[in-house]
Amino acid sequence: MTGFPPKEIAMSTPKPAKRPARPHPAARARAIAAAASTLTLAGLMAVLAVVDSSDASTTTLTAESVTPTTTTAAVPSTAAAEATTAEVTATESAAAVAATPAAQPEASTHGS
Amino acid sequence: MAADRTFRAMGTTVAVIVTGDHADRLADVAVDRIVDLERRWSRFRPDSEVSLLNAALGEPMSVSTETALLVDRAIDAWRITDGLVDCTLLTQLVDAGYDRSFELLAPDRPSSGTALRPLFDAGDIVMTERTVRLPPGVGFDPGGIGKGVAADLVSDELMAAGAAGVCISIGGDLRVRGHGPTTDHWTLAVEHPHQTSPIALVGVADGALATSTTRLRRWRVGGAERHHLIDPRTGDPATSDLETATAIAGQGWRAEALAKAVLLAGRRAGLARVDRAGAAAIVTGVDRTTARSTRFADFAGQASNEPKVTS
Repeated sequence: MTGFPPKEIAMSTPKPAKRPARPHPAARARAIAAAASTLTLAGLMAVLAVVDSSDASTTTLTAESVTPTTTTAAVPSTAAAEATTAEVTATESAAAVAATPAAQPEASTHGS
Repeated sequence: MAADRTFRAMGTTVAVIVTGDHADRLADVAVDRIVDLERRWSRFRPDSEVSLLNAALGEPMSVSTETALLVDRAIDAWRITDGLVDCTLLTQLVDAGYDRSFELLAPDRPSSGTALRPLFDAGDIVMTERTVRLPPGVGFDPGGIGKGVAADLVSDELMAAGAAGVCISIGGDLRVRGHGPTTDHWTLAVEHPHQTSPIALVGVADGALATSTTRLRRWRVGGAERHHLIDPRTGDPATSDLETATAIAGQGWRAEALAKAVLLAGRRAGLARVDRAGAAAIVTGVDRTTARSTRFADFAGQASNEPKVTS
């Protein structure tokens, strides 16, 4: 398998703090793509790929193609963040529909 | 009318039950589709999309809609479990010794050294509609989330194609919807890890059950026993006061994520997490006692033959 860092590098770099509550990456990417027309490329240093939704072709912004004046990622607008929160809430409210079990099961769960 | 198929895929046994007028034909469709998804998602096939993604060395890669859905759900799983379920732990899983299909693992092997703490997590994956970029050095392992997404996707497609009901079991993780063979819903057993009689029978009209356990997929490295559930907080195989955790949720991927998160979080914190998510769960501890989340009774009904449960 390729693509893994040497162990000494992996073990010497501190683990970034977890931020699971951050906006969903797909929504974040869409918000960033929408904002891209009004921001400088330098502000998009951490953004590496933006899809052109008109033809699904990929425009790649690499570290070499932007001016490295900042390492701060672009932040979605407040409206975009609110939309993301609503989207997440709707998704997480999905639950199974309960019924009364019969005497004999059709299948069983046991882990794998 | 009902038709069923049982076959090997995704490193485990897959069983499909379809009800309705076209059950036989649709059961064959399900088999083909699950084999197709395995071809796209297996990390043990060098030509799979997941293997190509892992070999992309941090470059963005265009993927199929199915694989985009898989990655999106993997990120969701990481998010709803506060990082406990992370499909970017492939390096750690390989380091623990799970570097080939489980059937091919040697019973014991030399240790490769100290476990690696993850540098990145699933929240660092950048994706747009059909393009995915993994952080450099990160390996993506669909694991149980892949099985859950596959069951969700295929059951969606079968119902859209006219099935009256579907039950898909991938390694014992279940996705059901529509009419069962004898009733308008499905009755599912939660197997006991140490007894032949189930812990509980549950009724589900539309939803999923998944069980996570540290009892299976175990191997030895340097004489020490290892298993496939990596704790992202340590990079090592997890330790827990639970042996099994079964979650009931609306979708297969969500049940998978919750079951694993409960197992990693432990009995008290895990069941509290399930309650907050609006899902249901039943667990067995290493002390062989069982406990249920608040909503579990909604599914167990009055007909359940479950034994006495200790909360």
